This record gives sequence, C-alpha cells and structure tokens, in this order.
Amino acid sequence: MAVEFGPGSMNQTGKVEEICNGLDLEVSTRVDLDPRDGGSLQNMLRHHRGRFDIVAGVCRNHSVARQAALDPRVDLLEFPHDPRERKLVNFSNKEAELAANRSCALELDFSAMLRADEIGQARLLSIMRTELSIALDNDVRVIVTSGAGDLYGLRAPRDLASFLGLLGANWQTCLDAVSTSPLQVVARKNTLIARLDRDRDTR
Amino acid sequence: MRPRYRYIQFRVVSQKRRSRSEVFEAIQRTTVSTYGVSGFAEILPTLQSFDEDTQEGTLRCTRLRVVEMRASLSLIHEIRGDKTAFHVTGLSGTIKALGVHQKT
Repeated sequence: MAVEFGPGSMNQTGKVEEICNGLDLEVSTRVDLDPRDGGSLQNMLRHHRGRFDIVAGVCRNHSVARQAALDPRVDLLEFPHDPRERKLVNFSNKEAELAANRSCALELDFSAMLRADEIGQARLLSIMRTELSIALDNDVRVIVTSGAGDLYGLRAPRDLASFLGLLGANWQTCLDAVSTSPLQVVARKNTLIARLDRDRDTR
Repeated sequence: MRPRYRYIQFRVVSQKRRSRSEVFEAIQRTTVSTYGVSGFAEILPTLQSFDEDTQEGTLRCTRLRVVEMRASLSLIHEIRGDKTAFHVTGLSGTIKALGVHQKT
C-alpha cells in the first residue's frame, strides 16, 4: 500500500502509519516533488529524501526532467496530467537512458485519463504511447498507478494493466507494471540507504 | 465461423443506483469512443445480465478482445454526471464456470 503526501502534510505520516500498523498493513510513504527547475529539485530532495520511502519528481520542464532522471534519489518520473503541458516536456531518449542507468521508473497515472475530456484522452493516449515506447526501448521500468482521489477513482491492478495494453504494451509488461515494478520501487529504498551509508563510510 | 466469447462478471460502484440501460449505454459509449466503430464490432460487448439490487452484472465480449473490454470498463468514470467505477470480479469462458467462481 502506498500513501501519497504533499510536502506540507508530512506531520500526518506518523498518524497514517499508526492506523495501518493496527490493521496489519505495511506502509510506504511517498512524496511528489513539483519543483520549478533542476536546482530547486535538488534542494527539495535534500529536505525530503530521507523522510519518505518513495520520491516522485513531477517533470514540468526539461530542466526538471533531466535532473530527476540524473539524480539517484528520485524513484519515479511523473509528467503533468494536462496533455498540452505534457507534450511540451516530451520524455526523450536521453532522459530514458539516464533513468535506466539509475533504476528510476516512469509512472503513468491512470487518473489523468479520467480527468480529461474525450479529445484530451486521445491526446494523452498518443503522448503516453510515445513515452511508453521510449521507456521500453531504453529498459526503463514502467509502473501504472490509479492516482485515485476517492473510491470512484480506484481500479483493480488487472484493470490498470489492461489500460497499459491500450497503450500497446504486451501482456507481460502490463502485469509487471502493476506487480514486480512497483515492488522494486519500494525495495529500491533499502538499496539506496545501503549505498548512501557505504558512501558515507568511505568518505 | 462463430466467434468464441468470454464472460466478464463486474460490479458497479456509483453515487446512485444504476439501471440496466444506463450501465449498458455507458459500456457501449466508452467502447465506441475508445476503439471506434470498427473496434466495437470486434469486441462485440453484450450485457448478459444485470442485477439492479446488487449492482452486479455479466458482460460478454469476444475472446481475443478481453483486454480491450477491461480497458473500456476501467475508463468509465461517470454515468449521467455521477461518479462511477466498474470493478471486474470474475472472468470465464462460460457463464456456468463464472457462477462457480462466484460461489467459491
């Protein structure tokens, strides 16, 4: 189970963890960083990386996208929901290559499709198809999330996998995007901590 | 040659109780808008049954287009202005087997 927080609501993480522990649920906290440029992403990472299990970088321009793909502290690359804004950022082969080298995953948010009108959905499908094909060509892990804000936005994993099928992925890739890939993103935190500790020791 | 079918058991979660016609209309509309008329003809969705009390139903589609059918169902997010979600609860090659899966 993953819980998403804004940078201003970090004091609530402890409360959520307490509730979930009572229900015997394992909690992974996540933060979405929405910086103006690459420099402010680094500042935000300095503050938030250690406090959350998963860090997603919202790439609203090339500078942020490049920095997020380059920085090993970023787990997920997320792109804007608005198709016009998203088209301008344009996930490129260079960013995909950088992301693949640092085991950073590409997140495709299903809720963007639900929020868009019919024309917007068509545009999003086209953009997401391109992003997916670039990611798969460069061995970047892809994950699909429901991005649900309420009960009506929730979708079962296999339904989300079917959505990825709509973008042209084969069925095994679709299933990985809702099973092994998200698990690897969560597990990545432990390897990252181990590596940071090792770096600190060698210094 | 007669096409082979798959049966999809689903549950509708909506702000209001939905009727059979509303549900089927939403399914048809989303399938056509996502895959076009030609795609709709290949998927061939047919609402076999829908219980308005439990809001559960069974949908039939062609065997080779199950993924497309599921994707269409997941894209339905409103019916007549009310927030709605379709959750697939079972999938089978026969209605009889679907019933067995539901009981177990």
